[in-house]
Amino acid sequence: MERILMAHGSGGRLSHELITSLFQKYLGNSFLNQMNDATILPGQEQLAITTDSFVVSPLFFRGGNIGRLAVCGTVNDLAVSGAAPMFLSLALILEEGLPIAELEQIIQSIAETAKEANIAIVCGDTKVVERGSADKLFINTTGIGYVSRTLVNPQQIQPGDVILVTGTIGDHEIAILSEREGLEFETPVTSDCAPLNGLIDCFFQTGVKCMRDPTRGGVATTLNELAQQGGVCMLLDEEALPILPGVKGACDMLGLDPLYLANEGKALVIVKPEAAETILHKMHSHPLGQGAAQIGVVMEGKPGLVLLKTPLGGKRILGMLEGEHLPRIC
Amino acid sequence: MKKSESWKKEMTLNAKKIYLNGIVQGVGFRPFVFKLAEELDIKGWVNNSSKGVTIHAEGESLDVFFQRLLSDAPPLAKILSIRSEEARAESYESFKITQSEAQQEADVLISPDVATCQDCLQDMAEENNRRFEYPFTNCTNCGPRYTIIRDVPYDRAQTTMSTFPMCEACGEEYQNPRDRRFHAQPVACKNCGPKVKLLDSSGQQLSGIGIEQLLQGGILAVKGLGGFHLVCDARNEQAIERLRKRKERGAKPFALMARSIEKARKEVKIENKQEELLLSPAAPIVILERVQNFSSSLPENIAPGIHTLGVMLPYTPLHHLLFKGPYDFLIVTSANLSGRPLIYRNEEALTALQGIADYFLVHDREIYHPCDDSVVQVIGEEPVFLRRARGYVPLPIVLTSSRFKKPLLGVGGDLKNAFCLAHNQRAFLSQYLGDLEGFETMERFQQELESFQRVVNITPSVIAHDKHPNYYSTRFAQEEDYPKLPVQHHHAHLVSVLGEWNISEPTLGIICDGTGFGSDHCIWGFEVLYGNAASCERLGHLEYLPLPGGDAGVKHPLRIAYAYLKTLLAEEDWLKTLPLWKSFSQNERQILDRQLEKKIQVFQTSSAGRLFDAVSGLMGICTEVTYEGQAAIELESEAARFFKQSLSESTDGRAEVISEYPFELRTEEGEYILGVAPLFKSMVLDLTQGISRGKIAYRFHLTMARAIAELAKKFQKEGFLALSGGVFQNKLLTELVLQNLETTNLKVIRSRTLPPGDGGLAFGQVLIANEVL
Ligand SMILES: [Fe+3]
Ligand SMILES: [Mg+2]
Ligand SMILES: [Zn+2]
Ligand SMILES: [Zn+2]
Repeated sequence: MERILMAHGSGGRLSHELITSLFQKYLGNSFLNQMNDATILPGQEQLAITTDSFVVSPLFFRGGNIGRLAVCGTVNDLAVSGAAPMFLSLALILEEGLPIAELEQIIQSIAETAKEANIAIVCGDTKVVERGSADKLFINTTGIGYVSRTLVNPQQIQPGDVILVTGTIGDHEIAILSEREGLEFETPVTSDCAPLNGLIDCFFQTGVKCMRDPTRGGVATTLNELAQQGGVCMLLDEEALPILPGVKGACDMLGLDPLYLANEGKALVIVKPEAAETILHKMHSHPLGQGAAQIGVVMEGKPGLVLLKTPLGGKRILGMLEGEHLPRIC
Repeated sequence: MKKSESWKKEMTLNAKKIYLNGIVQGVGFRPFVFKLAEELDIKGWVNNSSKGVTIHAEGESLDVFFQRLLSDAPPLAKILSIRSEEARAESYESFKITQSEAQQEADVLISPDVATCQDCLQDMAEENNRRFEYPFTNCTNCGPRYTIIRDVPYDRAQTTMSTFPMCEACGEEYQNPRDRRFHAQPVACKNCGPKVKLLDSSGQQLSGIGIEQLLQGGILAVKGLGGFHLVCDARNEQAIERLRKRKERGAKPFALMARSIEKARKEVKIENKQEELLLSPAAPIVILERVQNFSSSLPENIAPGIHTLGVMLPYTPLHHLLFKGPYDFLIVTSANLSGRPLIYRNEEALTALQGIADYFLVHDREIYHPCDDSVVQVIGEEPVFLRRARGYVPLPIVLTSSRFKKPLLGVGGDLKNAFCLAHNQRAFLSQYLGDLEGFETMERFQQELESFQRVVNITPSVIAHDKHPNYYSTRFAQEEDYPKLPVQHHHAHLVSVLGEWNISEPTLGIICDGTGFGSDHCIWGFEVLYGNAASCERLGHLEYLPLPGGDAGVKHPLRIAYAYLKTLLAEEDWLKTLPLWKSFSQNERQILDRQLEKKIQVFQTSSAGRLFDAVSGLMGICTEVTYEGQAAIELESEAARFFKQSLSESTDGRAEVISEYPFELRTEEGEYILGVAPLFKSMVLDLTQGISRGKIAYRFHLTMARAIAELAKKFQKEGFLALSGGVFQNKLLTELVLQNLETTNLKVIRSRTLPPGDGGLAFGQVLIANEVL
């Protein structure tokens, strides 16, 4: 009776339910249960490992393509886990009929991005499936990195800590959406897709407690996860959110909330209050951190609760991404 | 037969125990019993307990005594049950009021707050009276009740008056059964009671109560019965503008307080029913039609674009004192910040209202249950609640033919939230709380949910909530440990009406509403339903139309209009001819087109509210919504004004015959679908031919009324027809529907004591949960 819905893959509440009720239930172990972007493996030299699959449509979009995305996604999961990304696997599932020229363009892009991220592609695999069994091209990448710095886990997040984001939010999803649906906004939006390890190297210092990349489900869903894992309450300031006018305009038109839109080149960084200013300053000195901003604080309060302070001064609960934003006004 | 026999038997007894229940505390009931007993030479005693009032009566005229208990009861008393049994005569020598017994289970109803009575006003007016100009004068017939009660039984110690020990004079009144203030729990005077204080925005105390400041155009935050109001001189356009700006209130109308009903008549039309409401103990805000008045002292910015004004009369001594100033109308609007709940504590007012109020008129009697003013409009000769709060809460709705098997909680909807606690014969609806999207409102909801349980003595064991997965109320319910039941929104609307009328048979209902989550995952809002609490079937609905952008789209009636026209008509019929579309940029239109074509964030809806929004947008009446329902309210105003004018212009007092627009009723998969393409086609034609917006708006109302009547008649020719949903707060539409059905055998039933909108939803939810259990 129950079946997989698209929302099970959206990174929102249903994705979470799937993870806890199925994957964790059957596969759970001390590694998987870290429930972080990358898993830290024990050993003389601590390793971090992560894997991700990429199924974006369209393959090419303003600011990137599926290849660049496949490198960045895995690199970023390692980087926000405190690891220096080292090795990458590359598995391709190709649909019969995919133009070789497109594939070549994507592979070139993978090479460039890997270079930019300073990571080596060390193994790979290719499968071709019949027309209709896949949508043009799916990519899976697994990344391994050396743990280069100790990050505190979400349990250490404390009231008083400060929430930073490394730049404008929602760019990626609006770029993809306008490309896919042929929406021509007055100010076109470019995906933020980029490897973050360089930026993180630039600003990292003591006082950084936790980092996450707010991909599917956006800033709101990612912070919900952190607030839950850390047993804390968070308060965001709507007026402090860095949002490009083009993204804002698109959201107003379509009735979308930028806090729930996917990013592919941004990190949420939770820091000790005394370190916030320096870290923010360092972020601003890096090309990928130009739009960095303090967007909120960690507070005493109901564990797992994420609130948004609106420009009128009231607060609103930011839940996890639900299936869709069904109208509520009666 | 049997009944009269046992009645006779009782009459021959010379001693009786009588048990009464209902609102019998804090309303002067025991002094009334005492005086009646003295008059009829009855001996014995009366006492109050958490179970109600018990009387031991001995004497000759027990039958008269019993009858007059019912017929002569004090005005505020509400007797829900009376039972008597024989007792042994104890040969008492007098009649006494004895001490209250504390008992385990409370079963006494708490009275709502009551507007200041004439006797108390008299006390306040007499210079040699102890309570001359005392702003907290009250008696058993008037004053605060629900808003100051912490717990039952209703006793001074359980109210926020507990911090004011009575002075000797007050104590004597309180003890004296012959006094109007006998056991009036909030009794107080200048010597012992609460005091007011006028502060400026820096906290500096000023003399007076702010009349001077009002006259100079100042904005006062005034602590009232259920919370703070923001008050300014209603003649002062600049002051009103300032208040509007500071409160970031958009175009939402402000309520007025009028010195008296006579003064009010200079600005608004008041008929019998409305007068009755204005003067009632609940003293609600009544929505009244403005009179065409060129000498009006009231500026347009009180209620921009609307043909009505919300008016109430002073209902606390402090209000009466404020009207010592030389004005007849004050703006008196709830002091809450946009999206946040009513402010009711001094400290909060002093901080949150900084920058909004210039002065603060506070007092030291604490408010325990914050409670907004109620808002009522007379529609089709009956009062219809737009907001139910002060003066009505916590009166129960009493079931006569069924009962709630378990203690139940209905959490209501998200907007205009009010929850409902129900058990046995009674359902108690909380006061209006606001939109639960606001975190502070959600906190208020939780706070009131907890304290309301004590007031009505119901601890729920099952929760009913709306089916909408993203409602904050739904999420709240899901986090609770009790068993829960999701209820379809419009089913709850239907059953709420049936419950009020104590109808349990399946009944036909037409629900015209904003948006609610439908069983088919579409967004419903104009539904023909047939059913009762146990089950419900959808017989028909307005055709599905696309709502682009969901809630964001609702703020832009132009976009809704565009989406509807694009779906219903061929572009050449309307696109070029409607100058309105110039307000869209080329790019905006392009995106809207793509959005509709690709169905990005586009919801299929049968909403009646959105249809009104679309029509309002189509005519350019409302193009940007700044408060809930604005587009539809302004559309109704436009239509009502047109109708009134056409009446006055016609020589014989009869308006020109204006016909409906065409519409279509078709069947699809066994359901009746109301098609509106012909309607839009005609409206567009009228618009392009320069017909006035008022006339088109009026014809649109006529058409919807006819469509509702026709739909009903498709299913049955006689019997009950329930009308519910927020759209039936539209007076013009509702009265036109009633006219349409006047000559039929269909009997229309509507909400009577609850709002037809989402404010009454929770009652429907508990009734449905009760059946499913
Ligand atoms: Fe509703
Ligand atoms: Mg991953
Ligand atoms: Zn009185
Ligand atoms: Zn006194």
